[in-house]
Amino acid sequence: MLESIAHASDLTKSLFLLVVGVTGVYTTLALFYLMIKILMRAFKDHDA
Amino acid sequence: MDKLFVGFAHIGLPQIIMYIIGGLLIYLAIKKEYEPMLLLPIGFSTILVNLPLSAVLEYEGAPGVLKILFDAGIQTELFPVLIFIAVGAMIDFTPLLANPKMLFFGAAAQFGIFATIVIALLVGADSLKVASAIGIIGAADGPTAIFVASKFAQKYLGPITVAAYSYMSLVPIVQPPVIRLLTTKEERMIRMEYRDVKVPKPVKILFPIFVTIIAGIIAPISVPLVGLLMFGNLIRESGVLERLSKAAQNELANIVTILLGITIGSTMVAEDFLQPMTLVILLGGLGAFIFDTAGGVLFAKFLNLFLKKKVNPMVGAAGISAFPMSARVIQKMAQKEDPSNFILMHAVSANVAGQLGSIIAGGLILALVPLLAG
Repeated sequence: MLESIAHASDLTKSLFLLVVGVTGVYTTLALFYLMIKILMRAFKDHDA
Repeated sequence: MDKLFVGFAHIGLPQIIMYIIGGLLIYLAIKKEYEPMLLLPIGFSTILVNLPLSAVLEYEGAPGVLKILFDAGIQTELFPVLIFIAVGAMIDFTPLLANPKMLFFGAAAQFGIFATIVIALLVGADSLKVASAIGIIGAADGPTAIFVASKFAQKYLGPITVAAYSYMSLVPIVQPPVIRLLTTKEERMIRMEYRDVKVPKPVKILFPIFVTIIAGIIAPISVPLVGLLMFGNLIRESGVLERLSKAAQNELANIVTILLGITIGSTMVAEDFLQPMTLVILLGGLGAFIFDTAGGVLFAKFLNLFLKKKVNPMVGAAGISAFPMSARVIQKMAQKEDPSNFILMHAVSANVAGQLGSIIAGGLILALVPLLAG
């Protein structure tokens, strides 16, 4: 997929970056969200 | 005799304009207190490097002091990376750990970065790398902007840094009109319930370690960025390295900031700065902040279509990284509509999420752009 985009115009590449970038940020932060939820549950009895 | 007056022969209109720009940056730093820690050294350095023969850059064939600092600290990315340790030691992730839903606002408000990359290309950025360096101004996070720009567009490092720090200090002016345009009075008056959640110490310690591992696996190139930020945070949260934590927050931050500011200013040479691209950078940076704000607000409005307990859409705008200024702006706007409405803690959580989101966005740009640009 990246190979076909690599031959496209810079504008097409930037649109691809927009979609993949925004999705990537959401996905990564969603993983952080899950991680925080798991950690908070795992250590709920510990002192703050 | 000619050699005595050689300086006069090397002064032209471009140099005089740069002295005025340098003076303006110093004025904004001192009189208006717009990010003085960076704008003052950059302003002074702008004057230094545009003096006749620029001895601070090169003298009789040997590199000058600012060139040496640039090669050692910017070319190698050492200064921005060291700043990340200091920033990490300053960030308190507790409000975010207590209210992790706000992470999604931190993601939404990064939209401006990517939208600006597209627009920068449309209005004249000469490559995807340069457009990305302009877009990253929207990270509202100086060190991330410097780090990405030093990788992709070293030639424009000066104007990109000036734009990033200037707009960060202008958040109280840039954000409110965009928020008012996209929200109704009723929406701005929405109240949000706040529950005081205690965050256990092991969570605060494990968080920076796990974030580093996850970010490092998703975008390995982001490790210097995320890893050292989280290292700084781990020093802070460990509870056993208080001296080092304070050193990172004070001595390290201060020394690197001085060196970073004066070194970045060394890129503000008239021939490079007085170009149409500088205008594209300044306008692009402003656009990035506007799109970030709009992205956050519109995401919150979208969520409200499905939520029973509505979110005040202004909180979405706090998802940019300009901490704590953006959160304060949102609280001020909320209280203007309803003096008894208190959404500061939600805005702070979104703001901290924005700090994380901006670095992740920076990491993704660092990983994706070289693959696309070839």
